Amino acid sequence: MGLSILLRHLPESLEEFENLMNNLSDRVDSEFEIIADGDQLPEFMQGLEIQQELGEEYMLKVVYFDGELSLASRLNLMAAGARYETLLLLDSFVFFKEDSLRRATDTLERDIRGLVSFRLEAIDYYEQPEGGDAVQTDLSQVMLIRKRYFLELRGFDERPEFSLALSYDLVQRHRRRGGSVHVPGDSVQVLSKNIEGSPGVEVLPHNSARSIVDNDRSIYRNLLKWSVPSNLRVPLISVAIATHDRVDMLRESISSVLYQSFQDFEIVVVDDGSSTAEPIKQLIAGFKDARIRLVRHEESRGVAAARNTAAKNSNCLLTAVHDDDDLMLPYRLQAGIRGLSDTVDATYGGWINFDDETGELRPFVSKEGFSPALVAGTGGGPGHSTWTVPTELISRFKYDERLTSSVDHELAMRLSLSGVRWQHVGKFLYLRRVHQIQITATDNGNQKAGHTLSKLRNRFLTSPWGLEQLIEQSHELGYPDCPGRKKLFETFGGYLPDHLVSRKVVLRGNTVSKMMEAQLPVQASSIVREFDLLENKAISEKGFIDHVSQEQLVELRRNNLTSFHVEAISHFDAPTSLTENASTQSDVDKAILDALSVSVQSIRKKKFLLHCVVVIPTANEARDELPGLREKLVEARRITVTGEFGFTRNAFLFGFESLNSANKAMKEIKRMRNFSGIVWLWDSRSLELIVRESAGDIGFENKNVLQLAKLDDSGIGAE
Amino acid sequence: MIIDWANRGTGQFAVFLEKEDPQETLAFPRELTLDLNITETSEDKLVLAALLAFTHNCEGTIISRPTIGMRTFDAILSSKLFTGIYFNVSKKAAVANNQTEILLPAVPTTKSPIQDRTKKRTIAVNILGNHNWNGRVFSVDRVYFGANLASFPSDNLMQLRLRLAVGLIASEEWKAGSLVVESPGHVDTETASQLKKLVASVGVKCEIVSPDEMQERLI
Repeated sequence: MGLSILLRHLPESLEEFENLMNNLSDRVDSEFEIIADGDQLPEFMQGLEIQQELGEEYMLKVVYFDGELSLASRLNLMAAGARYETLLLLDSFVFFKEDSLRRATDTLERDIRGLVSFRLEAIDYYEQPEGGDAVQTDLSQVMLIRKRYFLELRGFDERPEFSLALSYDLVQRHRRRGGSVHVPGDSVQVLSKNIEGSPGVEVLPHNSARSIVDNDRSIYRNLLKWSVPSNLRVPLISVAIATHDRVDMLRESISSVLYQSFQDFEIVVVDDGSSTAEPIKQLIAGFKDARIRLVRHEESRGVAAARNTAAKNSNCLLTAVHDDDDLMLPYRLQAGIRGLSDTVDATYGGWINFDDETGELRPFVSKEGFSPALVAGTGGGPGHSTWTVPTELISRFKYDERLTSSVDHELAMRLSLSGVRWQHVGKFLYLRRVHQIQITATDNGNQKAGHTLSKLRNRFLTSPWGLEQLIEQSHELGYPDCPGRKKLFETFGGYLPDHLVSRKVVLRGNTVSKMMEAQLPVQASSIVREFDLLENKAISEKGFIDHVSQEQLVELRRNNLTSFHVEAISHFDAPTSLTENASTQSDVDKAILDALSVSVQSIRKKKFLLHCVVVIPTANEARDELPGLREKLVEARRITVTGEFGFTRNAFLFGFESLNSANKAMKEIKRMRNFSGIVWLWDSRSLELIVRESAGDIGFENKNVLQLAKLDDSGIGAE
Repeated sequence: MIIDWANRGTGQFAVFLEKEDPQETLAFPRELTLDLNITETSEDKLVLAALLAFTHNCEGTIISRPTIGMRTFDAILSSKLFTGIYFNVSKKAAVANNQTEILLPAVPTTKSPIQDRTKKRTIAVNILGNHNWNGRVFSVDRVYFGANLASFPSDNLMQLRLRLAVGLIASEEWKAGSLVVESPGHVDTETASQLKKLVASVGVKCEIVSPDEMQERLI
């Protein structure tokens, strides 16, 4: 077993370096490499790596970084690029005694997801390294860990506040997932100048480090942004999909995984004896994504067996359950992983049923705190496709293959009775398709029986008194307030299948370059910019791409475009008069109305009492002329929409606290020289149009203006 | 950290850990659950059972409750099985009972223990994984009940420690003065000796036997 040694602190002299090398050469009985940060490389070490490559028994590998990177990022990159499978992380410059390092590496042979943390013993470098004082430290400045496991834990936390407690944090996260910390009897000797508290040693005091680390009890970090390049990462979570003869739905189901915000996953598709193997094989091959693997049962063995097969074929610490007919919401994996901690072993969440023919949405939130008490009280269980569970638990407890349905409730119940703690993540996690050929629809009798048997297990040993106690406990469990619950279509409609909605992608900030990255030039429809005229600063910039298919959402993700919002238009909604008129001009006019609505909504969050004068000049110009009564003006914004062929429209929004001031301003604007356009007086408290004054027809019908107020009332366009 | 236990509404008895300080780490598994109701308990025996099961959570912590007797404390302190676990000590001591002997086979068996009429009664305690089986069955020489052993690592030593923990929990109610535990795999002499010393500190004699030796005690 080779060893890659990451040096956090570099020696100050050649003599120190040679002593370190000699100690390691004596103590390591396998091949090893030293990895050092090139930007910190002292002069005497320049060029040493070239000598080492010429036949020395160890290799010095110097890593140079592009740009300014945090210490955590540097160490993560050094670890990810390590040649050998075991990492020795040296926060300090240390000496190992006799065979302590060998014994430690043996320990990791037996416990591949273990961690060895050495105790430190201070010595003075210029004296004999004997009889130093043992240093009690739990900041784990010297540790041994498998490279794969280090990457599974997502390395050191790259947030700045963790920078001085990196190793301690890593050890705590390892402990939170139930890992063993092996502390060898022999301490390692460390130069006293490198011990915390010594001059020039940048280590946080224990209490400060502890409070930073302990305030975030989660286990896996750097989920969305990590300096380690994708090709050097290892997948953290297996998305387990069982399928049987539903290839079209499976395509959409897999696509919804591919556009997840968290991308370090593998997908294990278990084909449970579909009548012909070829269509699924072709589908998987068509994705051209090495993260997707297909396992086939030649004969159907049932959903429980398929799920057990997925766990058996998983390479990951965690499993996310997913069905072949369901669609993940884009943050589903991230939310499920982020919710795990030392006291939460498995997470679940809410879901939204959608009718596969009409697109009708129905939310299911699920109660918090799934437990024997909850089952006794309501019989409810955690929605299966919302689970994020350690794979090891599924492998050990297994789905019961004697059941044909309700296998999820039955397993969740057994896990809970065995001490697994479930927690709701407080979010909707997926869209559940309601159609004619799903198990619930076709196997309803067995579904009910499975559920009954599962509940019986829960109460098999209880007494009437005990049952009463459990039911009482269940009454104390509440429902989480899942965001988007009151605006289901507006929030989640964009993730319905293509046959139900038309999708619009909204990009924010730096939109021109993002639109180029999106590589969908034909569908790019408009850019909306909002400018604060009083503060003289840009507020927002949004770009819209229309008619984006689910497949294109996946492409956006593949092109590393992540910060966008998806809006949907139902195919079943009657189009508005403006949408019917598909000209560029009317599209831009519609965009202006939407942007005004959003702007007023955002202003109302800060200033509830606001009377707005809205001005839309006919001419394509952006004169930032403020009306009179400036001292009364509390808001002044310019909204510019640029559509296809550069067609541009401006709108101005002037806000006053009194209706009287707004009224006066409106009249003044009307008198402005050469003004041609439309002016509204708009009471944003009630969102009702009070007066509309047109100084020239620019194409807005009165009904559209009124419709704007109506749309606002339902919340469309809110941030 | 606190070691606690309870007969729950589900009809199960559990020994479990609770945080005293929210910053303590309490990773899975954090409870040992038996499909039994237990009314007679010994704090020292339950503490030892918890340490055997939850070493990963207990090391480096102070167990503030319950207090334990000096003899048990000394045994834990001198044991190489644990490091850095601190307790509050009281003057109490576990009371030894010696009416029965408990056999703990590694795999549940339908065989009965061979009884020696000149000695104490022997009871075979058969533990079923309650991830599959729930319930309890009683007979004077054999009992069967579920326990959540599948929640713990499956290696031989851990499973041996768990059976020992279950034996300790049951020993108070069954008035057992000795436990005979089957180890499916090899246990080194040092570890076996450490386990025996630990269990002896609460007045219980412990024998660790091979599968063949266990069969010799069953009929």
